[in-house]
Amino acid sequence: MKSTWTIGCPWRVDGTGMSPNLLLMAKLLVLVFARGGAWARMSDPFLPFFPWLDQMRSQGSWFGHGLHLMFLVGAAAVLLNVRPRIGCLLTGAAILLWQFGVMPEFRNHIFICGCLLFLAGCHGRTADPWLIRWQFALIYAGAATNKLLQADWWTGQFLVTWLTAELPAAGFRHASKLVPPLLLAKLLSWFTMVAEVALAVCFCRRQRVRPAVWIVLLLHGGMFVFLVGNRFGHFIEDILVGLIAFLSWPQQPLEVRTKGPDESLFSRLLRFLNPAASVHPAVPHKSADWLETTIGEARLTNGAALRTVLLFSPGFYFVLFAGDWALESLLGQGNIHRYLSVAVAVVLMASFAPAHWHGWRHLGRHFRPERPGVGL
Amino acid sequence: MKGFGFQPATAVGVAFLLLQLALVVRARFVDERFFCWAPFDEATRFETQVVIGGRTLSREETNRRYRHGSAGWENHSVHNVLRMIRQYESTYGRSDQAQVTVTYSINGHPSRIWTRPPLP
Repeated sequence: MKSTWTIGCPWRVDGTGMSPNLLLMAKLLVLVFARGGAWARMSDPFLPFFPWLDQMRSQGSWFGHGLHLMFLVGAAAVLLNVRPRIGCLLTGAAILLWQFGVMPEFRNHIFICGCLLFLAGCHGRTADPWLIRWQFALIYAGAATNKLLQADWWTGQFLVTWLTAELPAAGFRHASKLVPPLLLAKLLSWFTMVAEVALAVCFCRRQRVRPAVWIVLLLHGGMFVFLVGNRFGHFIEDILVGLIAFLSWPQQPLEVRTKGPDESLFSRLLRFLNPAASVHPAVPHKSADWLETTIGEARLTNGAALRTVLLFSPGFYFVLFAGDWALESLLGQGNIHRYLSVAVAVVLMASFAPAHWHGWRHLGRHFRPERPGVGL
Repeated sequence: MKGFGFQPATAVGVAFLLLQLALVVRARFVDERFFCWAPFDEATRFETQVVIGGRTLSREETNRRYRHGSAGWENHSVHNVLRMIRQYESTYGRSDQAQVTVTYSINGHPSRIWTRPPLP
């Protein structure tokens, strides 16, 4: 049921007609896309992929202005929780029309934004984001098929050329001192192809989403670290944000119990990051624990509790996004920002990975939307 | 919005996924790689030269003509570039009678030359 006071609150994802995690994904995608500046380049059709779109060209660039309006209105709807599903459809459709309409502007990292936003708008409020899941399956099936049919991927020739002549990647250069370059490139090529085939297969079944997500993190996270912060436009952000759709979001607001005074800095920070959560001092002073929360039947404490609370706090993601944007604005897109990004990514992956270790025995168990898991 | 129910929107989503599937299958029968999830599958070094009325366009003029870089690296497929050039020269630029030459090397292999119109 819609809660009117979430309207106008960009950091709230509850109380709308969308699943909280899909809405969070959509908000972050809108921000990532807007940050990239691509929306300002939306224009009338030019060399459209579908030639009939050329009929939309005009002296006044009305089609282009229409795309701008669609995107801005849709973005406002998504961010301010005013009919966010319609907002997703508007922003997604604007991006997709632009991509189909202006061939020179085609970029996979822009196309995936449009796809995920549009499909988020097509989703009802169901626990299984199966449209998003099939989108991921399609992405990796297409990517794997393209690679498997190219001899230069089997021989490693593409990666050798890309990582030595085009980039060139310091990680590859250093690693190839230990392993012959072509052999290293061949191993990386085969790993990528195997991973993409595995992902295409896993995303086809909702019971295999958990291992699929970890393969995505390994593949793209590894690429991000190895290439020292190369984001391929904003493809890395798009994929990682898209994974939020697969979080088993709690059906009820989080109950978080802290130790110490109610207005401690820590309690206020948790409430800021997750205004819908109930945060109150209930951990006894004599207890060794400093934080508790309950997810379904699981009682979590301390580090595991903190990771869970952060994972289900929309503000956590907005803070990460804002921090990254601020750093980029201050430092530019040079090496310092890239090294810092890689360091933060490694810390985040190392911090959150252990939160899911206890769930490994649940690999392959049936999806149970009524039991929100720790993360996935 | 009244009438904006679950099923029609879901059907639209399914139709969109099927469109993408069709484009992925289509990519198996054409050389270009648009909308088929083939990012960074080729590293192609290319350079485009356009001659109109005996005058060779500058790099900036060529960039503006196709709204695409006239030289550098292309990571989808060089055929994406060639399709854009073909489509431009057969539509917006038909009256220019341009002679376009693209020299390219895919993944470090020996260079090839593509021309439009094709050389006799």
